[in-house]
Amino acid sequence: MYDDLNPESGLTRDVQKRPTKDEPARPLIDREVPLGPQAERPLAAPVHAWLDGELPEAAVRKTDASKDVEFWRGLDVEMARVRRLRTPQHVEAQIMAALPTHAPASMITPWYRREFVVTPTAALLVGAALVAAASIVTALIVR
Amino acid sequence: MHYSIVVKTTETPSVVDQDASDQLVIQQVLAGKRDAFRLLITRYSDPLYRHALCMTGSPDVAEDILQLSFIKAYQHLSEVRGRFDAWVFRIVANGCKDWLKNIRRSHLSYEEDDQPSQHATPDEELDRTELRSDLDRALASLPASLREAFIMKHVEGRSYEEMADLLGTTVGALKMRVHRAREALQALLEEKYA
Repeated sequence: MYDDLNPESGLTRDVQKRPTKDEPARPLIDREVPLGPQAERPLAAPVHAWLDGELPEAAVRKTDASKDVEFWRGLDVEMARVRRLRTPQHVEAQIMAALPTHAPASMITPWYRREFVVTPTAALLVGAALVAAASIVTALIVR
Repeated sequence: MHYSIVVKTTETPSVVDQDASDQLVIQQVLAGKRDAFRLLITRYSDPLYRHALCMTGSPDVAEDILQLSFIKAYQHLSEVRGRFDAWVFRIVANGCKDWLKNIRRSHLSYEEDDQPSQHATPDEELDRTELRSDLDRALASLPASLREAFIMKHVEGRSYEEMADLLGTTVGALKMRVHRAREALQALLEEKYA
């Protein structure tokens, strides 16, 4: 008996098969996240600045990026539709029905974080108790 | 001066007033007035629903995430520190990211999950244009962090500072994500729509 140290032998056929350059790339399954989207053409800095609200549209149109401006204008029309979307009406009632019937639990504050109030009466009482205790202890020691 | 083509959709009278009002509602709910929580749902469900819808691409999943997030918010309401809207946004955003992680693991296909909502009206279905479908697909092909940044900037109309505050990252990193997302989307869509 011997240990099989061949690195290829334990692999399945699927794993061993690596796509070559000539093979067409496998299309990404929807929802699959690519390893960083590869932008074919980086957007010009003025376009980003305009989209970030730092430049007026006219300034960007003066550059050769007016095609990009048109593209983002078109996309913004669609995004404006999304901005107008409202929560379906039944959702509020559904959430209220699903809430627990009891009030939410108040958070328990640990004793060392609780507010500590000292009134003059309480201070006098504590002081008197301390003096009395000290005198009793002293009397016991002296005896 | 701000020249953005994105228009803010959820104009609030004042962030401070809104926050004070939220805190009052939270006190009422914690005191046992369960129905007061409805006000918080009404106030914030629309932007949260849109976020979940754009992140997941599915109306039904967006509804589920919204419902679970509000239930979680109710259960932990006493732990709110700071603005309620920012806190509940983080719950929804994390819910979306968790769903995306799980769906990637289970290899559920986009088509299977992207069935039109059974609650959508015929008008709503007609509104779903070809461009919208292509945009949804293009967004779905982006990594979650790029998609999230793009949606927050271009659909929700948030400033980079607000995004940085909500996501706990830097403005520079978010600008980079939004720029990469734009370039990727343009590469995917411009052949057909430019």
